[in-house]
Amino acid sequence: MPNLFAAKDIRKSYKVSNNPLKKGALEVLQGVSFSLNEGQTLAVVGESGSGKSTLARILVGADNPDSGELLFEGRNILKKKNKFEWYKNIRMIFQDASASLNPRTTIRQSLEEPLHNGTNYTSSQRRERILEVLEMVGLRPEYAERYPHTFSGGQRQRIAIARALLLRPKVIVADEPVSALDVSVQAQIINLLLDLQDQLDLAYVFISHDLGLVQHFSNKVLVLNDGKQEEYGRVTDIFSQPKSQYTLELLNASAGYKKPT
Amino acid sequence: MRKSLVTANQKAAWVIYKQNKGALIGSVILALILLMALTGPWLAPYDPAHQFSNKVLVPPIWNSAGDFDYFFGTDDLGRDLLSRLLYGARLSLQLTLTVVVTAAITGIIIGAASAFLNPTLRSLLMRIMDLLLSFPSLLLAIAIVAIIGPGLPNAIYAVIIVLIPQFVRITQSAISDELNKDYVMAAKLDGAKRFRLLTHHVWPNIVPALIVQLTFSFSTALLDIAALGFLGLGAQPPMAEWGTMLSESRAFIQFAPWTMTLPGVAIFLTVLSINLVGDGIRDALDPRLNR
Repeated sequence: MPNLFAAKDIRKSYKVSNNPLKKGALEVLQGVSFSLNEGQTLAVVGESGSGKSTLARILVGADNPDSGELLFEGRNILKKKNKFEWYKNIRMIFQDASASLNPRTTIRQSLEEPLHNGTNYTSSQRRERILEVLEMVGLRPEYAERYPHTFSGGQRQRIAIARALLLRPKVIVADEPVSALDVSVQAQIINLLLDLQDQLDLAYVFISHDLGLVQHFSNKVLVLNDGKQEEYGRVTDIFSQPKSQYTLELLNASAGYKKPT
Repeated sequence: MRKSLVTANQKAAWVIYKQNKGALIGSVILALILLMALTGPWLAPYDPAHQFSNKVLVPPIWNSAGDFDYFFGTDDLGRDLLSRLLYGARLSLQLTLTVVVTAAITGIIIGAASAFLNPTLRSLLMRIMDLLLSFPSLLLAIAIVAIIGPGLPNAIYAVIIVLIPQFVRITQSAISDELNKDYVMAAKLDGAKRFRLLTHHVWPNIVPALIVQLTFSFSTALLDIAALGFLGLGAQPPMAEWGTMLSESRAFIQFAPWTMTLPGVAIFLTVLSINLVGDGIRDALDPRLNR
């Protein structure tokens, strides 16, 4: 039985300059591998600039890796012509929910988009599904007719989660979904994500720099340092006995994290 | 699915617009000019080309020598200036509208199409547009008329060609700005194809920039058409066109200044009001300037 979702030796570099005479590339990811099953959460941690967001973008298909494999249910989705299976099963929650919603369309229009492109639903079926997911994330149905700027940050993040859920995905990649929110709202969103995981057996890839949160939230953790995979394994193992110096520093620098005794 | 064209954003924009005194004054003047242009043929007391040979260079009524039959006086051929100005308003605004609409549609289509081109071709196209933009618009229009020959249709073509690059440039840069934003990436991951991205997601976000460009193009076009008329490269006499009227009356500026002042004031007021309205729209639609 293959894993639900796995990455093998993902590498990515960016050209430093567009000038063809200048050579050199910035290696953002230098061989990242992990595997993930239904209902599990993998946390990706590291400092700013360690390649976390690039990894997230690659996982959802927003960016192409230079090399490596992405396996979904055992098949390499990078090789597939039809990207839609990929987009449908592995969904993204963006860091900044307000930037990820089109400011000039209503919530309904934003939520229609994945259904319009990815299903054969009639407009009444789409309407029904939108109301269904809005309820799942704890938003009132009439919110669908409003514009993004009329919502609070927490509500916008709920809308982003609703959008990710519409197509019944198996994996959700969340790029720092709560880092822009204040603490009480963070807790609400995290609890919502945990509830949804229980209900829908979702797998999460959770990008974060908050180690306290990671400890509470995830099964596995992947530590990135400058694009290098510093450590990868079960949260309990790594947090109690970090093998690398970098992980130890990260743990010591973190305020929210409780050292297991 | 699209319900009403008036969104919350547009309502907010209208509130800001109403607070702008200059824009309101501009709107009123522009509305009056448009009204005069529309009703000109019925308001005008005489045929604009009819020559009252015994009423040459009658001053306007505020002058003691004025004649109440000729409100704004007459020109050197005895033509009623009020009638000519009203017909001129109609002609000038018609020409401007034709020019701007044609240029805008062409420019926006080229600009949007360039989003589908490969990067090398696109930057080649944009450098050609930059080249055209680097000339002052009037100079370029004169050069084009010099090549294709004087006359009203050619002057119109020239002004259209001059205006197109502005629309191409602004459409292209607005689109490429928007394409880099998160919501476009999100829509892409929702499975939207490039064409749908442009029409459903990017387009509503670039419309404000295009509306602003449209209003400023109006004043440029009006001025350029009048300037070409003045230089004898555009509308030809006896056509009642403001620029042509200016140039015909040049010889009489010393002893019949009204013949030149009145068309000048007409051009000035129209351009001023369009610019005021344009400023108001820009301030209202630009979120960065919102208070």
